[in-house]
Amino acid sequence: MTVPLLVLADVSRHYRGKGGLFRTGEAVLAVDGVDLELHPGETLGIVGESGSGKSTLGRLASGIERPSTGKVAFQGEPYAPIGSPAWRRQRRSVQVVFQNPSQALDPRLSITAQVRGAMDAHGLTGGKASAGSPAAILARVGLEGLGRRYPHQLSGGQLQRAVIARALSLSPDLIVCDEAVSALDVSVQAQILNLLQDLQAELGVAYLFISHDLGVVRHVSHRIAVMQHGRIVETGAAGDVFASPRDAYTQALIAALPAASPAARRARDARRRLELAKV
Amino acid sequence: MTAAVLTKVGVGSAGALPVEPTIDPARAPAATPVLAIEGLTVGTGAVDLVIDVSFEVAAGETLCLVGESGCGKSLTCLAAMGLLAEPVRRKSGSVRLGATELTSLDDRRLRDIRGRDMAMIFQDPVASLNPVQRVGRQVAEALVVHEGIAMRSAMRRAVELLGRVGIARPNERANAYPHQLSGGMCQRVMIAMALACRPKVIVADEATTALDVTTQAQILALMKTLQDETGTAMIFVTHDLSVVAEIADRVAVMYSGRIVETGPVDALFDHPAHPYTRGLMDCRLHALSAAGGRLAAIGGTVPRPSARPVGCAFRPRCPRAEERCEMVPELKPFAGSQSAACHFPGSAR
Repeated sequence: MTVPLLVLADVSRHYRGKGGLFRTGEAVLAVDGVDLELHPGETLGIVGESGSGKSTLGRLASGIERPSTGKVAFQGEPYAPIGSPAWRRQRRSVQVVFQNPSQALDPRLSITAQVRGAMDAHGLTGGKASAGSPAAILARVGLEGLGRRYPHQLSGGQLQRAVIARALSLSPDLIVCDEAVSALDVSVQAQILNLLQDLQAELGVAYLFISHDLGVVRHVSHRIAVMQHGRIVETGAAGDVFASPRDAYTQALIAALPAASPAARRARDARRRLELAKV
Repeated sequence: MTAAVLTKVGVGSAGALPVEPTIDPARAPAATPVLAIEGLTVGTGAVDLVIDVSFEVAAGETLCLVGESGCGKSLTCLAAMGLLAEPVRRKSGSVRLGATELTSLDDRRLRDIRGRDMAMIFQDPVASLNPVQRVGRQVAEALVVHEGIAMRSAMRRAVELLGRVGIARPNERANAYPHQLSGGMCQRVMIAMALACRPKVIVADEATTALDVTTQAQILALMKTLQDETGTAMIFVTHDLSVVAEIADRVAVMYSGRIVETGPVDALFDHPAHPYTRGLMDCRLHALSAAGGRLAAIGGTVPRPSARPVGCAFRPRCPRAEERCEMVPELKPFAGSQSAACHFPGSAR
């Protein structure tokens, strides 16, 4: 077994709840005693409904936020204090891609300038450690010749490619994708998922892939963790979790999936009617 | 404990099954449409955003409008409801509700019809509700305005309606403000509001898109059950083909402002005629089908309406495109009641 890239051991994160003017609210446990391992070059999918704590988990895994209790270790070390030299090094190795690319990019800078800016910030421009020139990276993600454009001149799919290019320019070991394809149309979503898989095959980058969409998570993940109320209720190989879910919540999620075709819908409805008749 | 509750909810949604289908799912549109749109063109200045769109919905029938963002689905709905706002306007075409031509009505008459005979449900229920008014009162308002009944009895009806859309303890919840309810609950309130005056047509624009899967399953089952009870015609806009598989009787696929394919839902899933429909089918991801491998993506993006290519707008993205495609293809019958706007419908790529 390889050395894990990322380890979360009994990690919890709570927030002070909303209170009134003279009372403090109850603490909200967003993440509650989570244990996870992610290996180099692997994709771990996190599924759950809104409010399950999956985004908080993503922020803890990327070091943007620190746990209330428990330990997060990246490449064997805890995340260094924010602003320290060690943190800068870790920051380079862990990148994040969020749902809304237009909010993740600076509207006043060209795409090339944003990629170069990220590389400059880490002293990578022209250095050996970088993945190449901004132009080469943009070409790699399918934005050849578009580097001089500004964010408002690109489509949603192109913007998400630009965000991925900026993350890649730092040669990260881990990219946390938080609903990275959820806002895209299906056809564009397929393009971006293909791109992410190609990049993983080429560069060996690991993904923590957070999404509410079970179909997308199933497609990209090697392993899947199902979250509910801040806890991980089930983990396993992607195929196993969907083929034979053990946890009641996972079963409920799968039962709620819309049918793949009208014929599948009729078959399912007939089956359920039969089950109801038996009861 | 909570898991058990959720499981129950999951099965509960399955419990609200539609009645056994008695009608042939591949039937053609019924003879007397409730709503008929013909030759609808919507645009701003010289740019057309919806081009020559025609369709009908019959009582008890659900028509799904499908396509990527920017294809004109929502504008078609807004035009049908008479809710277009400057600078976007209807350039030509007719919208008929039963025997009434809506496009020739003035604002006041149209307001009478909207909310009473036609109702709309939007994607974001929290943004669609008034944040400073209790939800029961918001449902009751439609009854007061359209049926002229007193607020007291309207409130009683509102509580009944909230119960009917599956809100537990409707008496208490009627006094809640939108921010005190979850997204799914707010969408139920919107449905109660839409149903209040027993409309002939409900237009639902991405009504379940913002909801979690378990909530989506409940809301879809609820809408189907209520439709079976009331016989309301439904136009359901979605970009999600698995939602289409759940609720549609017929489907109209839109691309860059035009309907490119239309037909019974089974026909579209079994043998899509237009390459765009097939492309959408191919890049679907379903958690229960085999995973892995590369996805069939449709390259490129929907063209901007101001920069549509000459001829078929799908041409630059189409694997099948030829010289002939520089002519705009007409929407022609393909098989049965399925039609496609393609020079090479149904051909393998």
